[in-house]
Amino acid sequence: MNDNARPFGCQRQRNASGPYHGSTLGLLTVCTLFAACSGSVSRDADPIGSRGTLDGGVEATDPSTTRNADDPAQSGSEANTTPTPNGSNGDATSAELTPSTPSTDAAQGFVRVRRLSNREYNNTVRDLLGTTLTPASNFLKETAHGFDNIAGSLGMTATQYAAYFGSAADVAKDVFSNEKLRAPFETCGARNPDSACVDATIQSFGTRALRRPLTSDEVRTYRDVYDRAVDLELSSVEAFEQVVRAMLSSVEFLYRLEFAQPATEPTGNTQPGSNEYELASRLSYFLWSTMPDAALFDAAASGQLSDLTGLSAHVERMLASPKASALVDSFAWQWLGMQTLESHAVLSDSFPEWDEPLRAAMLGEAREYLTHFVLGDAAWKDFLSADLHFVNARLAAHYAASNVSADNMAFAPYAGDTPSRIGFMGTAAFLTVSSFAHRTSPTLRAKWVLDALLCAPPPPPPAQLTIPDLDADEAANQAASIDNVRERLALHRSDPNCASCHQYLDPLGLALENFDAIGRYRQEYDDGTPIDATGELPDGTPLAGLPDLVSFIGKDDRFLRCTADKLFTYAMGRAPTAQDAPALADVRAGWQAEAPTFRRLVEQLAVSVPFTQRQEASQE
Amino acid sequence: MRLANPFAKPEVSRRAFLRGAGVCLALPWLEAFTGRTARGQASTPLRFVPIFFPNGAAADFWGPSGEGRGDAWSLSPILQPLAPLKPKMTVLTNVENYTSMQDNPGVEPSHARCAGAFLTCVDADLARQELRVEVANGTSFDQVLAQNLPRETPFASLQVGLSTIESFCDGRHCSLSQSISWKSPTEPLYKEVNPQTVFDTLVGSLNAGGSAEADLESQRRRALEQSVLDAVAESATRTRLRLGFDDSHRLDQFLESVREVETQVQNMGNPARSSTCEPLARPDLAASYGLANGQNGYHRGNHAAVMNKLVLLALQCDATRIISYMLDDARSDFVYDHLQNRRFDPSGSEPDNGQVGGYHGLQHAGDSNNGYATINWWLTQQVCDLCQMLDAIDEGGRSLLDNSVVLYGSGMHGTNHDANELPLVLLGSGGGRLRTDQHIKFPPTPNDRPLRDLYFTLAKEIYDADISSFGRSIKGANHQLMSEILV
Repeated sequence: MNDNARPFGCQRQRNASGPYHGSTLGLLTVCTLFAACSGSVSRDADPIGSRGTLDGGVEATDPSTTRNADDPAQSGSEANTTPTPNGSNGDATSAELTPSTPSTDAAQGFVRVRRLSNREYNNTVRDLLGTTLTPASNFLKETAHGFDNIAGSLGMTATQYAAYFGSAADVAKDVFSNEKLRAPFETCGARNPDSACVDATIQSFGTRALRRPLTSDEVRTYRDVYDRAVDLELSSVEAFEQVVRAMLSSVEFLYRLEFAQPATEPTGNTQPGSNEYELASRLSYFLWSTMPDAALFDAAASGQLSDLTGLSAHVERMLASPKASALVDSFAWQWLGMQTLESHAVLSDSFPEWDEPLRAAMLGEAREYLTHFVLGDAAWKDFLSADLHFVNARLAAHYAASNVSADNMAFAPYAGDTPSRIGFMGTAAFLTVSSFAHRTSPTLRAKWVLDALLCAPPPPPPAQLTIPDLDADEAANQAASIDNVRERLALHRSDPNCASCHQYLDPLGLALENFDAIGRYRQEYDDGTPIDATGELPDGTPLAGLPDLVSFIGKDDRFLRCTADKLFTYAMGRAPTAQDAPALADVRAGWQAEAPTFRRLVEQLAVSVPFTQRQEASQE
Repeated sequence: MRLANPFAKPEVSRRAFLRGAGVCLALPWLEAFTGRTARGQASTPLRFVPIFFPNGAAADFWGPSGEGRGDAWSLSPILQPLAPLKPKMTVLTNVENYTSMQDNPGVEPSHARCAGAFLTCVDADLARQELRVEVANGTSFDQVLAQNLPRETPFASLQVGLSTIESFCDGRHCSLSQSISWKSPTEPLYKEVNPQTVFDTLVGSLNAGGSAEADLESQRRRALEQSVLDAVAESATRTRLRLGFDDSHRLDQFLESVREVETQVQNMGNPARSSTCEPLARPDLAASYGLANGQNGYHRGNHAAVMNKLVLLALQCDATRIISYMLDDARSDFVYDHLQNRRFDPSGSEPDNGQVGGYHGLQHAGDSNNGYATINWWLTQQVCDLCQMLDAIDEGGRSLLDNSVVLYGSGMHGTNHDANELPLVLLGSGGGRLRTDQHIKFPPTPNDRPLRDLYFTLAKEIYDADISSFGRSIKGANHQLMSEILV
């Protein structure tokens, strides 16, 4: 296909003829295209999530895992290889192989087997049982594409299952040792309860736990658990604790499953409404990161979700619920790297001002700002440019904002005090998390801009290239602040190997140099040299400071596309593929047609074909 | 607890129960030693403990001076913490694991691929393309051993590590950055970083039982657990049939995991295989391990000290003989600010001013960077601490360390991220079969020696494992015995 039609993120061609020895040729081909190629949807079909995160360092992505789903040259070669990673000397096959897109990612529609993310697990046990335990906070994290809810990435090893199994017991124990929480399981009486009552309790709790009515086989399975417990001389309530524990340990609870075929009851009837229950779960985990509430279960049971009007009404209702804050705390938080700030390290040698209240204030502003744009009525196009920030007393001092009366805890909006600090990239939260522990990193900031906002991550440095040490002549490299990052990067660019990419990266990152590694405005470096935040992209576009950077990105239509792609990835649990492009174009058109708020994008996606359709089973 | 009734309801949680069991297994040292001797001529168990560190080593301060045995070589500045163990170690120079990089020109050999290949000698990118699944690598050497050797311990293997919950990935699937052990090409064995979980697992498996009441109680507890697992398996088996073809493998994976947990539950009822354990209190989570907040309140030094003790416990108690240990995740940019910088020169290092920064950032600061070398030096110190504890345990003429192969190394060289000239140290003599106190310098690239040959040699010559090949060579070379390491 035509290289010029591809986005930067997919300029990942390799020189198949032999090893790359650091010549500039390959890289120049890659990097000179990125600013010019804005002609197509990002169709990164990488199932693994080659998207870099902000967890430090400069080369998070790797070309070999990022591919273009609609590139026939890449997708046609996957059929003839034999899986032999551990067979005897499988050397011969290595050279002929070209990267291919795993078949699991080529499917359209909703992923049918998707384990609950850790966040979803915690929210679900809370809403299902009222427990305050959050066992999944200690579970392994399996992030891909920047999100913790990607189906292909959420596995199940024995270690992980042992954690689920233990946690099911802990949660059940917690619930049943609480008089109020165990009340629903006491209605059948303590001893020799009516058998029908036991089955009914299993069915009514099970419908919520497994997020759909249980088949009669399933009721019998859990009844066996109950009976066995009673045989072991447990009381009826104690036996129900074992039932709850078993359900919480089950694949039907731990995964969101969508069935290829409905269950057939012994009567010959198929179980009604299974599609509706599945759609209810899709909606609630997308919008709320938790299980459906009673109204949504009712809607599923009565068929209200099968037409667009009913579906839209529920989407609107759900977005108005406080639970919709999950779109901020989960989706936006992860997309924009805010979870990294929660554990971001700042060296106290370099920044003695840094402390936990300052971190908390930054996180507080981020939450206010993101809530304003994600759930409010603000136009999404202003996300990067709004003259609006939210400060408490600590952050007001940090921003040197004088015309705001903020108290210690509450966050107040303010505008117009420091004109150079605008939009999301002006928040201390972003500016800090995109820096090293001891200084700013224009490279890291530029990479973030390209990756998160334009879905066009830069390639990593080439092989066998020794990356110059920007901190080299600092005294003993003690992580002291670099006196002048700009000068160091200029040296860096004098090497043609580096210049091919850094001529793009550096102007983007240097435009933010007026903000230090904890987001304070500054006009000079520690050594007294003035900060110069101006630069010029290779095509002559001048960039001077944050406002120019914001305007440059705002004009790039990849920003809106990327926003929609990120939300799609989060909602669907997989990255968009080429087949999704028409549907995504429809979603964007509907979004931009009227009131282009972020909420509107969510509404459009929630009723879109990929989100509401079932994934087709392959014919293999 | 209503102990009068043998079937009284279990009022303590499963974990609390295990905690109690921990007290039972503690035995005085002498008695433990006697127990071992009393076992007579039973063959001495050989252990394998690969200890991985990420980001390579500051190359200017890693390589020992001189080569050969004894006085012919001396420790490098980074390896100086190992001085007390110099007679029991071998440093390997010019070993490569090119598998993971060379057929992908123009691509930096990434942290995830190098870490993924460390124990597999397979390029995970290639494996993923071939297997057409999201999560793929090769079976790791520790698992090949675990699968080929007779199983005489409660656990075939353990995986532990020192990262935090907020740990690092490297663009690829996190399994490649966060685990080095692979049970099969599609099954990563994630390390456990929570010392309490490791403790509970070990103590649970080694529970030797107590009073008759406690035995009945634990029997009932296991019966309930079995009943729950039966229901889970029954339901999942039914559900599997209703899923499409593409998705059934995910249910297979689930069922396999359920079965393994079932085995563990059953094992918990068996008497301990060994009583050679020293007392150890359940680790205090708050003091040693800041789970939730990354660096906030977390101390890497405390974490390492606790994990070392748990590794010791597991080996000493013969809970397992194979433990892979990650000192940090691949491409970790963990900020080692609990460390003070050291100033390195070719003769050694001494304390200097200032805190150490992020590991990965310092790796990029160059092979002579003091912060980078300080982290390597400190990690070496942790390995030394562990090995000295192992060396203090007498197993009848030889120490536990002597009866082990501890492989301390990284999947990457240094600042340049290359997968040749790997930093590698062997400690212990594999039951007397490995030659020690030597620095082996193989010829430089391209005549350097593949890492897979090391594993192959260990399998054949130390562990008597019946394998014909291990990993891959992009050079297409056949296995060559690494006889230099052998007695």
